[in-house]
Amino acid sequence: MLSRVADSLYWMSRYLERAGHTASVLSLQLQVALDQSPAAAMAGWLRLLTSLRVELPGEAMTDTNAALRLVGFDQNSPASIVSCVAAARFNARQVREQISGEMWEQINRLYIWISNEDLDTLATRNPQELFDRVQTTAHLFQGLSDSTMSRGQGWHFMQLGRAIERACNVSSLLAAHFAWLDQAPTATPTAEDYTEWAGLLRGSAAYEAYCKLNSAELRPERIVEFLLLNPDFPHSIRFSLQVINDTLQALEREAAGVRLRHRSASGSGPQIGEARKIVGRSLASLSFSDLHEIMQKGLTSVVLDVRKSCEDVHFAVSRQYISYPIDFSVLTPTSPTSASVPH
Amino acid sequence: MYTQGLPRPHYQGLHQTLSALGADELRRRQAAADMSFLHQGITFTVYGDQRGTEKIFPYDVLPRLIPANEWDTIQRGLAQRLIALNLFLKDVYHEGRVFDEGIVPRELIWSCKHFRREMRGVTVPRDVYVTVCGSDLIRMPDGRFAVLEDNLRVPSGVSYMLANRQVMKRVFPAVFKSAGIQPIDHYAQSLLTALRALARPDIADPHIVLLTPGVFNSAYFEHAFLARQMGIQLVEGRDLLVHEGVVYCRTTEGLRRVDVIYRRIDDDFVDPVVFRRDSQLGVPGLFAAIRMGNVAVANAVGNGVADDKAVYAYVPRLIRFYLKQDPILPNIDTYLMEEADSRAFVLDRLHEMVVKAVGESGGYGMLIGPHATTEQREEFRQRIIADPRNYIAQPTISLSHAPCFINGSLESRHIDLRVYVICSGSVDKVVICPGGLTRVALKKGSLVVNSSQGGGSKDTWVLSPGHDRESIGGAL
Repeated sequence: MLSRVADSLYWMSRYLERAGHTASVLSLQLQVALDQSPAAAMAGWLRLLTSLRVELPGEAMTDTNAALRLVGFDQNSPASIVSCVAAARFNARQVREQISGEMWEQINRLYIWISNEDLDTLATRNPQELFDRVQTTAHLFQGLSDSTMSRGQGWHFMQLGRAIERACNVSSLLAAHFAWLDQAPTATPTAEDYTEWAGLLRGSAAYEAYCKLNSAELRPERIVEFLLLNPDFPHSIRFSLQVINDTLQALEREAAGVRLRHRSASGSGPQIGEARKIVGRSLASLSFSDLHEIMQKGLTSVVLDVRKSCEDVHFAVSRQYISYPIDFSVLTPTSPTSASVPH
Repeated sequence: MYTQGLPRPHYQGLHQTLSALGADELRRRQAAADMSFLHQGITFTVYGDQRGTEKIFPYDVLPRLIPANEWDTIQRGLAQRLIALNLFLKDVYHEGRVFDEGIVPRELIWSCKHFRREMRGVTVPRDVYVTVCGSDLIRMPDGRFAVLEDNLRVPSGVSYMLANRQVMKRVFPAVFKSAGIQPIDHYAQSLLTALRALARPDIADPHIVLLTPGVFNSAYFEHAFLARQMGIQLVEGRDLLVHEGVVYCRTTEGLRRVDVIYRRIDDDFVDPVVFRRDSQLGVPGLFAAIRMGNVAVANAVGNGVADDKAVYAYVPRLIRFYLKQDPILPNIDTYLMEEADSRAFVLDRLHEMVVKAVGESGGYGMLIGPHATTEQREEFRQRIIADPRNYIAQPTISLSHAPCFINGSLESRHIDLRVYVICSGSVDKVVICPGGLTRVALKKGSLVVNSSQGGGSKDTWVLSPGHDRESIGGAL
């Protein structure tokens, strides 16, 4: 597969995951804020912006609509949902011959709908419609890619993008909501805290799954344990790291097979690539830790480590598959360069 | 479609079915077709628009029908023409017999804007210069088809021919059952076969790619569409590199050798080392790889000499010279302004002629005499006298009409027909897909069918032999 194409598939998938995630937390924030005092709601907005890793506007924010536009509806803000959709669609357009027509049609439909809307009016009157459409498209797209795409490299690069993006997003959410646990692990939660935590779980599509496991009793350390360490829930960090690990393994196997078939000169390094070593270490440290140990290490430092690993994996993958240096000495002996070839 | 107020025989069935359908239903189906195009992203990019707006190529739901006997003539005529043009290109870049025997003046070719002296003496795989040709036909007042021009460089539009048909099948499924419409779905397969034949014979499974300028090109949809249909990689210049005369593409498994390139970028941009230095679209060193025979590129570089508007006038003579046959399809009468007699003849009759600059395309650099002002005619007179090689003139020919469904009613519009002709691995093996792109001038009275200037298209149905008089449709 072309390196540029792999890169586009990866980013298409990342941007769509990001758009879906942002839509989901924004949608929750709008609902949660209804049950909160203005001060708590404002704190909620700031937490949301931090968790999305968006730079806060310089002056103190007094208008929650500004935040809504910044991460939702502003085409000039790279973090906004509409920008993420445009970026996902731009990448999809680069790889149209790689993804199935059905997948393209979903993402293109969403993009056309957004292009035809007056975004300011939509943000004031009915922001929920955008969130719903984006989430539905993200789910449909994932379902379609599962049922219409061969499990080749392209599919793996898409899984990789989605899992890396998801692991980053969930770690940022945890850091934004539970950093205080490191200082005051025994603080007594207030009613507003419960509202916030329920929102956090819903924002990661985890509320129902959490309740099945732990009943509806919301306790901060159980939430952390669920979103960080649960091996079975698709939005938990450990789950995403496992996907990254498996995907990288599949890519390495595939690349070795293709190299054999085409006898092409290798641009990549040893068989267990750097990226897989990084994610493997990170995954092992989560898989063999319990909550107690995590809390002793400090939650903030653990999730920051996860995010750092994801970033390192991203760059290692790029060095291995996308923008690798070329060793010309490998090329020359196998390449026929005769000038007089009869036709 | 009509003769003396009645539908021509091969249209009668369709006419009845459509009449029964009613305008409202037609309008609904037109809307369904439009949405289908938009959502599939069957669009072209409008240049000069800040947002890079993509528009659908306007599409008319009423098909154009061509009976089998007329198609037979078109097919034989275009095959004959492409064979002669391929022989001509080889001759131009090698022996030059056509000059020695005084058929075409040497200066005419060497002064042509698209002549590439770098191609002289270069062996082209299987002597096939033109793998894909798009020929524009018009129907003359006497009912015969004539060739208006050949596109031998990077002809585009074939994806609309294929997409039109797919959408048409979705919108009017029932009509296809009984109509005896010849299928066109195998176009991509034919093209792939032709490209594969260009690879060196010792390569069992050649690696074929389609080279596109990228997503910002107006025809990007078509490039992606064809790559998908053929199952080949869609590459950009930045994906390719040349090392010691061999072309590679950068893949996730390392570099992989490329054997055949179906390029959709112009000659000028192919290789910045040899042609335009500021080109970011091409691949440095690609031309050297072509010369060494390490890669086959279709269409060949330098084909523009054979679709030059002045050289066009010589095509009937080329057919007689190379094939010893009479041309099956006529040309439009063309006067070369370089020839003194013709020039004098045309300058006396500018008000009834169309004058075209030879190097231009897309409807630019043109004077339509009957529609022009006295000043415009005077301006062209001066230009012709100053640079006669650069101009040709043709009598003004009214394009034929076809009914189109516009704003809920039937209206007559001018049309032409582009047919895609493939040369498959040897000069005398020509494959033509039974169909084409009928382009429509959507503005009332306009003669310009180009998509950039308000043109649209309609599906083109070539009927199977024996279906010419049968009714099409029934329950739509």
